[in-house]
Parts: sequence; C-alpha cells; structure tokens
Amino acid sequence: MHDMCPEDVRGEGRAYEWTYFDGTSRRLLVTDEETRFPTGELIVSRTDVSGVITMCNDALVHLSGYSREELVGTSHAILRHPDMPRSVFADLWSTVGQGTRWTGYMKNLRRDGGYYWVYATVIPKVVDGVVVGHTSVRREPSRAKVEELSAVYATMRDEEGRG
Amino acid sequence: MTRHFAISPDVNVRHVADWFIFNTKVQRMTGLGFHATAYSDFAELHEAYEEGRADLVFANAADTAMLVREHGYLPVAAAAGVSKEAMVVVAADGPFRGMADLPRQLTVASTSAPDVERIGRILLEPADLGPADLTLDVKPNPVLVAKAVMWHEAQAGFLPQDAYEALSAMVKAQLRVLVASRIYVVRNALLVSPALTDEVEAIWDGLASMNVDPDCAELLTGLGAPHGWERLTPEDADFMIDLMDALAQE
Repeated sequence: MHDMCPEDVRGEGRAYEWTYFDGTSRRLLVTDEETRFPTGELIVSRTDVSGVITMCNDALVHLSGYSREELVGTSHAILRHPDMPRSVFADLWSTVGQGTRWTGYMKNLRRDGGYYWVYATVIPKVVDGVVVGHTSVRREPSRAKVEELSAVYATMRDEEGRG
Repeated sequence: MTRHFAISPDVNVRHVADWFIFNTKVQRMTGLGFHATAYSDFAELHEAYEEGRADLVFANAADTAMLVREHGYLPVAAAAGVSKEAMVVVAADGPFRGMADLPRQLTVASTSAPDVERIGRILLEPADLGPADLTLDVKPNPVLVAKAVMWHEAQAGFLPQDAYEALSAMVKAQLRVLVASRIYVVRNALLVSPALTDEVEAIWDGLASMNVDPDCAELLTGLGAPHGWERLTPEDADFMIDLMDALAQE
C-alpha cells in the first residue's frame, strides 16, 4: 500500500507511521472530517482469505474516496483507521477464521484523510471446511452506538499503549 | 411426470397473467409441460418448495439463497438492471416525521416476503431498533400493509418499492416514507430445480431470444424485466447467498 499523499488530503492531516499485521508499514494522514454513511445504502465487498479485496460495489468507492481500481487487489487494511483498536481486528480475524460471522462498529479511513463509521458484518466463505474468503456488508450505524464505541475504542487504544 | 412452475407472491399481482404467458413460452423453450400455480402467500410457496412443486420459480433473494444452498437449485437469469428495494413507511398524519421520532418498541406491518422484511429491519438499525424492539404484524399483501399504517393499526410498515409505487395517489398521500433502501444488489432470480439441470441452457437461449424479440417487449415489462433478462451465474447466486446471510439479524 502506498503512503497517503498530502495533496489527496483535505485540510491539515496528522501523520502516523502505521505498521500492519504483516509487518508492512504506511504513512497515514488523518483529519477530523467525518463523512456520514448515506442513508439506505449498503457497502458490499468480498476479499480473499488474506483480506485482499476481490470485489466491491459503488457505495464503497464513493464513501472511501478510492477508485475501484485502487481498491480491488489491495488489502482491506487500506481502510483501517488508526483510531481503531488492534484488538478489534484481532477479534474479527479470529472469529471469521473459525468460520463464524463477526459483527461490530468500525471507524474507517478515507483516501482524503477523513473518516466514516459503519456497522459491519463479515461472513466467512467456507468451502469443504476451509475458509477461502470473506463477504463484508456495511451499513449506517446508529449515532448513539458511534458515540458509545468512540469512547470504548479510546479506552482500548489506551490499554494497547496507543493513547 | 408433471413439472411445476411456481409463480411467487414476489411478482406484481397485476401482471400474474403475464407469468402464465411466460409459462407457455418456457414450455416451448424446453418442450416440457409445466403446471403453473400463482401463490398469494409465502407460506404456501415454501410448502411447494418442500413438496417438490417448484421446478421453475422467480424467487426473491432470500428464497434464492435458501433454494440454491439447501435444495441445489440452479440460477438461470435475473431481470437486467432491476433490483429489489424496500422502504419504511408511517402514517402521514401520525407523530413520526423522522427516524429519531420512532419509539423504542415499534409495531411494523409487513408481508411475509423475507427479503423485504430483512431490508426493512436493516433500515431501522440506525434508529437503534433491533429484532427485540420490533413486533411484526404480517399482512397478506402490500396494500393491506399500507392500510394498516394509514389506519394506525401499525406504527410503521415495510413495503417493497415497486409495490409502493403501484399504490394509488390517494393512498400514497396518506403515507410518509421515512427511509428507503438504495442497495442495488438484491435481486429476484429465475431458478430451476436440480431435476431440470439439462434444461438450463435451453431456457436461457429462450430468454435471450425474448430480449431481442420486439413482440416480447410488453410481456417483459409485465414480468418486471423491462430491459430484458441477463444471465445469472453460480457466482452471482453465491454472492446473493452471502449477502442474505450477512443481512440476516441474529
């Protein structure tokens, strides 16, 4: 994944050097600009077993700010916001790795440095007892839950030493 | 051996006759006889599935997922460029003007169409209304859903968008649309039972012929496929299964 470019970011972005689970790293530029999830829409995407996006719908293109060409073939982690606790993703991967659906709230990072909240469900695709990929459906979250989870995730980040 | 064409309650009731005409066309495509039955409720249709009386069916997405996964049905086609959308309606003269006005416990009128119910429930999630907060009042058809809402028998209603559009202007004026889906990927599908595996290509060829036959244009519109049919692959059906699983609330 490429570093985020200042010219793509709206406003003054805070810089993070972010290291992913596979040891790769990327320079993130993050702003406080929220884009609200469009009412009535759904984001749908599929990934292979390693989390690389194989298909996505227009809603993900619009909300993330990335083109379809930039998204497909790239790790879903491109959307990971540094405000998300690592333990949430650990729980997600552990759950779907056992062939079970995972549901939860996520703050995602846009191409322009802003963010959007989603209520996500991830379903593992199991063939002959082996997980071969995932389908993810994201929809508009309740604002009360967003407020609640913002505080919970801040505490979790503190516990991870990332306050 | 009698083969059965199950006409789902998903189809527009005003165009049921077109589905009987379509049945005649399928018989010409395959050279096989089909007995067509129009079902007015989903319980009867699901009984037909269980009893093997649905060799050919135009099914909603939730039934498509179930039939392909549990009964080995094969996808054939979907209406090109047509998706199934749903909406949450309330009484225009009632107290709810936006999602934030909805109470913590809600009575919702709905038909038993599983895909519409599933989408309707998803639309209410941003208002913090989950499965335990909703009491469903199942009505036989969308017109009775609309009436239950207008007459304040239910606080809200789930309606498929096409059924809402088909309501009279007078009825629509008494409803307020609180939220409508724009999902685009939930679709009805034409499926055949495993017994008709060898007929899939013949049926598809016949459907493709309809697409280019000017005499079929009116019929296609009546069938809800104004832009013709497009092939539905096993991968498309697979995606529909995953999507319906993801949308099912637990």
